[in-house]
Amino acid sequence: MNCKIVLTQLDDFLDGELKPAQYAQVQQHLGDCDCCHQAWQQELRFRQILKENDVPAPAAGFEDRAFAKLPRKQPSTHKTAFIAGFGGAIAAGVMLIVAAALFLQPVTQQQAQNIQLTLHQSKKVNMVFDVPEMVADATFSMQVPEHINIAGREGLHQIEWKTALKKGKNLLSLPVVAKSAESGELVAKIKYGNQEKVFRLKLDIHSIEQGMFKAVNIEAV
Amino acid sequence: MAAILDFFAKKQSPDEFEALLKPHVGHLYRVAYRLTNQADAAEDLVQDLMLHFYPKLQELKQIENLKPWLARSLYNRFIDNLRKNKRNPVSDALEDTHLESITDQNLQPEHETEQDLMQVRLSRALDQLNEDQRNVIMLHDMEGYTLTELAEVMATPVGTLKSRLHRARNSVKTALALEPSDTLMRVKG
Repeated sequence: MNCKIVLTQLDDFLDGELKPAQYAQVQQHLGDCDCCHQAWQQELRFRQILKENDVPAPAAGFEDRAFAKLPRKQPSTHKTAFIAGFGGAIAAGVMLIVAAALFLQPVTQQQAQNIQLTLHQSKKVNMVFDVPEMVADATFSMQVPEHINIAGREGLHQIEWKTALKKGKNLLSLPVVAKSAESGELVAKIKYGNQEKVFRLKLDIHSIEQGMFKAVNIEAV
Repeated sequence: MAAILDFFAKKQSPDEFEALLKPHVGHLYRVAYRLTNQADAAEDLVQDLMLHFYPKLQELKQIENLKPWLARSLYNRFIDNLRKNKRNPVSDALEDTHLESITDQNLQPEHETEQDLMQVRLSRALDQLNEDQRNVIMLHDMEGYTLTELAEVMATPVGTLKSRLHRARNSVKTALALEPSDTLMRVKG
């Protein structure tokens, strides 16, 4: 192997890009040739200068700040996942459903307003659960029809989570998108102790061409 | 919306998300800093990336080698931001650096060692490279990514990256008054 080839391959040699046989040949030449050895030493020095150009360390607490924007890190005045001040969220939604008197009291009234869902368009369904006293350890589960997607969580049709309900109104906001114009049912279930309530949202979807909407009703079972 | 996101956050275990990503944020910050040349912008870029991936924990768990994959995502977001904002943070950063360089003719005492002087000259030399060359030399020679990894990160063939790297190194060597290997070859050849 001559000097010209060795110098051509010097970068690959240092970058670990040579095959073992080539690597061994270059290595041997560098041991035999003072001129190429000097070039190799200079290249090593150059690489060292580059490596010494370090990135300043981030300010203290960076690792925590990296995750600070995540939803769970947002400050909340209540340990429940529900929005405590929900007025603005309700105003932003297209539907408000009030499920009155959850647990401890018989269901006396269910109010439902018509939801206008259009095929392939995301709409927010707001459900408000009004409870007479705090429920510390409730389990929510949701069954979403196959042809309905939760915006941003496509493909998720079975959801279950534990949460607390504060006394009074608690908001669950659900952005949904219909993939096909067929009727379906969204089922929300709340368990607390040995009590359970099921809420069923009957969904009829329309395409823009149909120009009509059907009501969505909620009823406790 | 926020309420349901919170529910999902609980469902998908934020601790698990952090446990998976936390080992990578230090390295991501380094890459982000190399790209933006600004500490605040680097932090913002990493934060945005975490926010972007937060709902995608299950997908992340399926990825075998997260390091280059995350670096690629970071790189793509950086490029997207450049395009969206029109305003080029790298150019801004370079302008700042250039100003600093000009006003830094009388070097401060802390820059008086040979090593510090060399680093100042290196920073100037890197500033003179085009963005592609600068990115490849910084991520390869300074951050230790292999060419194969960078091919994935930058969605560029290895051969192209090799050429950029070669040109970048020679430009920097010339600026540092070190002899490019090509020059040696021509002398010997």
